[in-house]
Amino acid sequence: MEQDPSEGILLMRLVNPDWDQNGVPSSQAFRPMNDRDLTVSFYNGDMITPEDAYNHFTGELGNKAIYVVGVPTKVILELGLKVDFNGVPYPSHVNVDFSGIEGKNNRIRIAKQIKEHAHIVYKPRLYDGAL
Amino acid sequence: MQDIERDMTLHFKGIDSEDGTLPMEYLEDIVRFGKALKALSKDFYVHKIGKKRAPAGFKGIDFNMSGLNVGSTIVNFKPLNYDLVGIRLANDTFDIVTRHLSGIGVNMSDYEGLEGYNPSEQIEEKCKGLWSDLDERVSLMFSNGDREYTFSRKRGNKTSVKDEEKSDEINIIGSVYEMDCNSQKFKVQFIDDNGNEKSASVQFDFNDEPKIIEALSNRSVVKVRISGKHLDGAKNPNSLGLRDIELLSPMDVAGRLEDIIKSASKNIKDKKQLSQYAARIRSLGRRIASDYSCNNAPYIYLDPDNNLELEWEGNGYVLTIDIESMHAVLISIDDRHDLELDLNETRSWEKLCELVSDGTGSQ
Repeated sequence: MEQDPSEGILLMRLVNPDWDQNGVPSSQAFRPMNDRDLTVSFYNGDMITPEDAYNHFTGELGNKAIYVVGVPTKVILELGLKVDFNGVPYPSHVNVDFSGIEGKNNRIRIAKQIKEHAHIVYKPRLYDGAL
Repeated sequence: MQDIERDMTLHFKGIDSEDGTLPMEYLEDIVRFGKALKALSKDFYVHKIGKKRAPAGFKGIDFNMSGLNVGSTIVNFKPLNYDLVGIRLANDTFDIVTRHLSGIGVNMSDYEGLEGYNPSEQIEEKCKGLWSDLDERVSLMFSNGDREYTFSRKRGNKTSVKDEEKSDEINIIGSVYEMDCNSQKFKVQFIDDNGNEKSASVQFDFNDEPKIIEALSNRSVVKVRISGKHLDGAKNPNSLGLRDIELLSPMDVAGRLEDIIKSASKNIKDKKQLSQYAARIRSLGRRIASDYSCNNAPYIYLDPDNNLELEWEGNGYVLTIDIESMHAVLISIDDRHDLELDLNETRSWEKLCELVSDGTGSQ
């Protein structure tokens, strides 16, 4: 069977400081936070560098992030999630769809598995923490 | 293994103890207090087994003085039966009596076999008049681990309990955010027991400086557990003289939970609600750090509803905890069946520890 070329794309997710403990993100970073919207936004690693993704997310979009983590698309697909390289609302935007996963606990279970395959791909030199 | 011994310090402060002696009459109350604890442990046991009296040969707790320091005496509290029942009985007795005396309230559903039992009358009766001879100028600080409270005599010979914060001694866990080596001071931020975000200026000793500087150079956030004393005559009422400082590991449960309280304080605006929330989180922290003996420390995260999620490295478990009810769900990535746990119950903690330790080799 022919391999989907998108499987090799690294999907990048920005991690909120509240989701971090000592460089280890919570599985919350990899799952929808409410039942109304069962999608999670990632950046397409083929279209933007980790550092640019960080700058876009914290600068242009005005969000907080402590670092960027990456996970291969293949991992997401193997967990039964749909990946949509939709490019909306910005060109490198990717939607990962959890709507096929019933119940919060199952979504936690999947997110924990994504986390175990994720690794930090960019961390700013200085993060404005407590000190 | 659960804690099987508890050290309590009874520290007398005031004019009678300024010369470093302990008036003999105060010892009588310590003896009475020990007897009250022993009798209460027996009452609790009788209630737990649902009988009218304790069986012959019943062994409850032991209470011995193990040291006498300047103005203080160390008393040691331990079970006489080193089996699970004896250890639990000693722990329950200690917790119930000290919580009741501290005025912080006791939730009896936390104690297996004692649900629905109201021990207030028994405790009041057995502890009646304790410390009533205490000189009005003397206060008795009663400390156990990170709990600390003060007895002092009010008008009318009534024993009262004062909040720790009214004492000039203070123990806090917080984040260092500013340091001035020239004046040997650093500032620490923390959330107090009333839910207020505070900062304190801490005067440190020259000997502590290398340790603090090293920590500051290696980490972006430095968490410390400090004990100190309010500085008399200082312009800033939050000026502390440092007595002891411990730099906390990023995996330290108590330190991490203080971060969680601080994060939650952004969402919980009502001070009373935040104070209750902080008390529940700190109580949970004590449970994880001491009673819950598994040494596989979890990563702890706040969720959007201000509840907690615990995750362990290397074993695929996530534990969600509802802070209000202490209802928890243990989710395993390998198993579709989630385990529901009531963390008010000791057996739930035992089950949890057994599961999360499996396969990590950490027990």
